[in-house]
Amino acid sequence: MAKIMVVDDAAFMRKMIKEILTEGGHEVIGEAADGVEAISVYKSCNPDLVTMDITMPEMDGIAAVKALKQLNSEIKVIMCSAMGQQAMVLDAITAGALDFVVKPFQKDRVLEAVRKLLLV
Amino acid sequence: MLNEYDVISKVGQNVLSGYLGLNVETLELQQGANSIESSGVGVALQIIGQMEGQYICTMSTTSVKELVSRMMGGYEIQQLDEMCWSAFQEFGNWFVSGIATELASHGIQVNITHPLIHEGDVTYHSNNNYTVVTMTTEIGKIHVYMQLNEVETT
Ligand SMILES: [Mg+2]
Repeated sequence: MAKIMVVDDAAFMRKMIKEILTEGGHEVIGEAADGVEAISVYKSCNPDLVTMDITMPEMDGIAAVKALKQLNSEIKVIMCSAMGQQAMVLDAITAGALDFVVKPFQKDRVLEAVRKLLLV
Repeated sequence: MLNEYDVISKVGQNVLSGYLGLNVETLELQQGANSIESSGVGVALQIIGQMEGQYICTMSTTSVKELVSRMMGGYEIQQLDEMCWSAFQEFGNWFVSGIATELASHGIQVNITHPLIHEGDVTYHSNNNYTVVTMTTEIGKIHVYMQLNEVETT
């Protein structure tokens, strides 16, 4: 079981990801709707793992991952984005994300990504 | 050569059939519309980057309730509330992101804007024609209108 922070600008996606993770036995201890909020929520809840959307207002997910990396170089981030083109995946991995899940996704795809990262 | 009809049909199949489990029949291309009328609901996004344009997807209120219900795992929708609109925006986001991914495979890099929702009678007018693709599903007809133009480079 992991303590997870969910970052996505869409309330629907936060709810959906939270349900999947909760059903999978994890606990969502923080939520944020953009990159700026993600940084402040991260500092206050210190999660084991973060799911991060890319396209968001204020600060996008790629910039947010770079900023979070500065706070914790060991941070575990799974990118969750509908923008699945190679260039985007590469940007995310270069920024410091460890996995990339393309929306829309099946439940198992997310839980599998979490399971793998917890072993790292 | 990029065929907009093929791109929309392919992404539509992925999202509606592959993910939401609907039976989708894509009707023949209807070209030539430079205005769009909708009396139900719609979601609109802009495409920006190496090509620029718009995407508008419309359907009836009954259809959107069924669509959102499927996205929420079968939960029955009586009234469209904030969470439902967020889901419908996300549907638009999935669809146009899929289009962006297809464009990338043709070497065209684009980004997309935040989805906007409309409800009720609305008419869109444009100087350019939209590519129109109508998908028939068991939850009703889903209309996709898109225009995509080359960006003049200097
Ligand atoms: Mg987003």
